[in-house]
Amino acid sequence: MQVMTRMPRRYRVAVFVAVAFVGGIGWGAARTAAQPGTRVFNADVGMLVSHVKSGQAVAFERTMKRMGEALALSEEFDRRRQAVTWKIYKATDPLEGGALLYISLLDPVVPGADYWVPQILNEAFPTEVQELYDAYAGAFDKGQGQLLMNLTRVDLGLAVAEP
Amino acid sequence: MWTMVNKGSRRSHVWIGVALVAAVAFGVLLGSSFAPASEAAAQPTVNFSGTTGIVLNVVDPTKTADFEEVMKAFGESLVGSSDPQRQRMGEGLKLYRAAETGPNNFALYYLFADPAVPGGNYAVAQVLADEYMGGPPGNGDEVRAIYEKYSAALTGGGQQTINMDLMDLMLEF
Repeated sequence: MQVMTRMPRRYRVAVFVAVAFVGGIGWGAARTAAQPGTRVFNADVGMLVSHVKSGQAVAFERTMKRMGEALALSEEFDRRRQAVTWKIYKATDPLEGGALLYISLLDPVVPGADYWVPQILNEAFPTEVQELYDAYAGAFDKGQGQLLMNLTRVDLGLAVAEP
Repeated sequence: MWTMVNKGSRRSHVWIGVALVAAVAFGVLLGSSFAPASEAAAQPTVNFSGTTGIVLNVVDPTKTADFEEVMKAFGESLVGSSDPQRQRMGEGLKLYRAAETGPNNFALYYLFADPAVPGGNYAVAQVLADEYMGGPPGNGDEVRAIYEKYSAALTGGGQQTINMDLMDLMLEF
């Protein structure tokens, strides 16, 4: 500290800036590492297979609807593009063991976009994100959870001919 | 007294027998609903009760080209049909291949029928028999050949049919 007080003012400012810069890098890296759930696809089409606990359908669907609102409200063009092509299907019958199956089909995927639901919720509803995250995370079946699939369309030659 | 006990014992044996027969019958029914791939492929009827149908196909990785050829023939047979119901079935058909593989490195294909046509029979074998290469009676050899490819591609893998409903999440703008 004595060394700092003896330093000229402009050097002290430079040291503070350097420390803040290095600290910022460290904080950013730790934050990225702490984000367990990025959902970025590297194919044209993406699929998320979600296994939801029996009795948690309402909580899961409520969170997904809020996610839909978040995308619709977003000022980012890419977020709104994500909403347009995001379809969610629910299996009519529960799986063996009672878990419920939900399949999200993203056709096409917005290149580079993150489909991690808590992140989308955090951007739009930062004050209620914890509650939404708890409901979302608590809905998944412990054994299966969520599966990310990268898909490629297979051309079946079914294009409708122009009249 | 002895006779009454004997009668009661005989009656209980009858009930146990009935219960065993019922259990076997129920087991046969349940077992047949989890038919192996080759039998599932041969089923004459595949209907969907939801708004959308998904068929997960687990395909031999050495026979993916054959499987895709069959799926193209299936799709073309549907859209080329003179039956309006089958045309609608063909229009809603999409096939995706996953980059990720299944057990034993088998390829995963998802066939989507969206929307699923109510009452439509999506059984590949039946559609090919009825519609492929102009339909019967002239298409017998071609149908046999393509069905063999289909069956071989699914051998060791399998099929799973899932009935789905599209959820309204207010995502349509």
